[in-house]
Amino acid sequence: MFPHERSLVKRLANQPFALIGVNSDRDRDVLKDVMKEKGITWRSFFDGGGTGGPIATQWQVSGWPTIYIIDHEGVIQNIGAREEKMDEVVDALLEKATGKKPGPASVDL
Amino acid sequence: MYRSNRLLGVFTLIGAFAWSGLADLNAATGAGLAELELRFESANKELGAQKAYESFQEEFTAFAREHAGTEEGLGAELWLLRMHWWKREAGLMQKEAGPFARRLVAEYGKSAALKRVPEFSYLFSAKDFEDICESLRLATPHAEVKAECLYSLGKKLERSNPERAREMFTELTREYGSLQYRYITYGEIAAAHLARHDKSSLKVGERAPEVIGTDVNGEPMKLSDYRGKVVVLDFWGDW
Repeated sequence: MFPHERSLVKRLANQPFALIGVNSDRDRDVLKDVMKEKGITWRSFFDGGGTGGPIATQWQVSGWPTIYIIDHEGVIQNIGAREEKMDEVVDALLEKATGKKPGPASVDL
Repeated sequence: MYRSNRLLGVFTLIGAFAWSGLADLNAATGAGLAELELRFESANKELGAQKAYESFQEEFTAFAREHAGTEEGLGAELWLLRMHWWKREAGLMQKEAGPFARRLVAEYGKSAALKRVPEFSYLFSAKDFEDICESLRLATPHAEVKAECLYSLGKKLERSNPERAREMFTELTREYGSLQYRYITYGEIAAAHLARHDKSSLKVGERAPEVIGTDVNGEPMKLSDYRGKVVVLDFWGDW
């Protein structure tokens, strides 16, 4: 899943778009190394060091990954879209926000 | 692909294995618990956990008996308790884990290592777990153990008995709110449980609730910083 997210972030670098993680790993130092190694450049909340962290608890998340897509006004527009479906939903929301279609199709890095 | 609760249990169990490696090697007793656990670990890699458990069960039982009343003996007992997970397919997990943990509380109630018992909440029926946590809270002199009892019991009862769960989290906040829990405090995690978002507010068409926290470098961040942008909010973990 990281390769897809990396290409999405790169393709939409000039768009009003942000990929934001909520990470539930146990060890913060190990996580920092993993992010460097896997080229995870986007920002993540560090959720307390485990799957029972405060953000996942408040959002009642019990499966990973769980993905919410939120429009530019802060309204939830999709839950669970992955890969190409995620691209489609995000592109449609960017078009709604900016009035024009965002750039070229996703390319693998 | 969403992980089931059962897989989450396995995840917890893997975490437990990782912890077990930290047990002290007791040179005075010859081959100590750490050595036994190391041998189990390599069998675990070769045979898989269920088979490894079955072939080491007798050795851990004998070790616990031989070192009864010591921290090493308790370490072996906690290993045996944790391994009740592998009895679930035979329908014996809850049935046998409850009495096993009650005995540990009776025999080792003052040990700080009993903090592990509430951490294994997934092994027990709600009723057994409530009993065990109540007696452990009375027996233990350690604030960390009492806090873990309240926290684990609150989580266990959150769906079946939300009122009682609230009492647990409220008491946890009041009595042990400043104690450390992983990277945060019991107070912070209890507050999250007391303010869970209603499922109906997490649906398509609803305004996303605010998220306030810190990033992996400890820098403060919040979801509303990204208002005006399309946001993919990805709950993830590297496991």
